[in-house]
Amino acid sequence: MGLGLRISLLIAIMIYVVLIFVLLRKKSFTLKYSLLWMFMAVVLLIMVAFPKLVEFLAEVIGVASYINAIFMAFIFFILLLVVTLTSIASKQHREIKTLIQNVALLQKQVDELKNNK
Amino acid sequence: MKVLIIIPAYNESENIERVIADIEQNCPQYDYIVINDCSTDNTAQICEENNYNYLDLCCNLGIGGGVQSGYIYAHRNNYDYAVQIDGDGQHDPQYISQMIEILEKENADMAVGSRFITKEGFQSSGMRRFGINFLSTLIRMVCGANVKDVTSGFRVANRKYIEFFSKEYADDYPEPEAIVAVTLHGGKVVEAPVVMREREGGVSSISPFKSIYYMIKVSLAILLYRITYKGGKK
Ligand SMILES: Nc1nc2c(ncn2[C@@H]2O[C@H](COP(=O)(O)OP(=O)(O)O)[C@@H](O)[C@H]2O)c(=O)[nH]1
Ligand SMILES: [Mg+2]
Repeated sequence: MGLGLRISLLIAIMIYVVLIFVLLRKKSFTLKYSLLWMFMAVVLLIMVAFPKLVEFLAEVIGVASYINAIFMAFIFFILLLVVTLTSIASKQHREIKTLIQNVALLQKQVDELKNNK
Repeated sequence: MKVLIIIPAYNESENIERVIADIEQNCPQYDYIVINDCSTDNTAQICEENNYNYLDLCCNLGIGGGVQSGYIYAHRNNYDYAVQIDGDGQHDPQYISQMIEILEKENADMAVGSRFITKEGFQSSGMRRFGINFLSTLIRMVCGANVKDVTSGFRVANRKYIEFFSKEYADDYPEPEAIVAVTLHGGKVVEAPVVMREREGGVSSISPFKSIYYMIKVSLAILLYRITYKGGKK
């Protein structure tokens, strides 16, 4: 892995890590949901720190060049994140549905109490 | 015997008054609740002015989430039976007592009002019947339930399955899936003959284009339910 590539990757990862920390500090990120993001940063750092490892892995999985292996890792992580997001969205969908139903039932009780007075 | 009629209503201002009048006239012994699912017309206003018993959902949940709020209401208010009828006037409330009778006689947990037993009245378009037959066969293969009119929204559930539905009910196009859910959980589903009418006003929420999406979605939902169902076959 060329030095130029390693430096640019390192800079990119740095920007990424800083962004995560800023978002965490501003509390616009729940820690639970940011774990996967941080894990991703760690793996990418390892890839930059040990280029020989990447080259070895590229050969093992049959990828012609290590840069493609890096791309594959990126795409894999992005897929993982999107699936996680879908599952979070589904859970929130269920919760919101229950909330809407309960609000309607409570609203009805409130109206009934009001009308009895 | 406490019976609640659940009426999902989305933009049914043209029909809802007739449906309620029909219930009040023909089955005054039953309670009802209209679920106004954030209609964009004046359905809510009509319910308010006529002093109907109704729930007002602040966001549109779709037929599944809407009907489910009716089941939650039925469960919390201790009803023996909950009946679902459409808000468009397609279902004649006079059949409710027969449906409950059949359910009790057969010792069943859910009775589905079926227009394909006597084959009288509104039978739907050929295309839609083809789809319904397909789903009916799929459901028989998946769980053994023998129901012809699987998409019928005219149905009665007993106390046990009122509670079940109040906890678990599919979001959209829930009717066929509910049959699978009840059967896999050891419940018995029977069919009761009814005569359905044509929708009296407004438009059906299921356009020809949507019906393709409907078929794919419901078939997948049924298969997935079977595959992911935990706890052995009944
Ligand atoms: N709660 C709720 N009910 C709906 C919605 N869309 C349709 N409905 C109701 O579901 C019932 C059946 O709908 P309809 O369009 O007549 O379907 P069809 O009879 O299968 O053609 C009617 O009572 C509608 O008012 C919705 O988004 N939410
Ligand atoms: Mg209809």
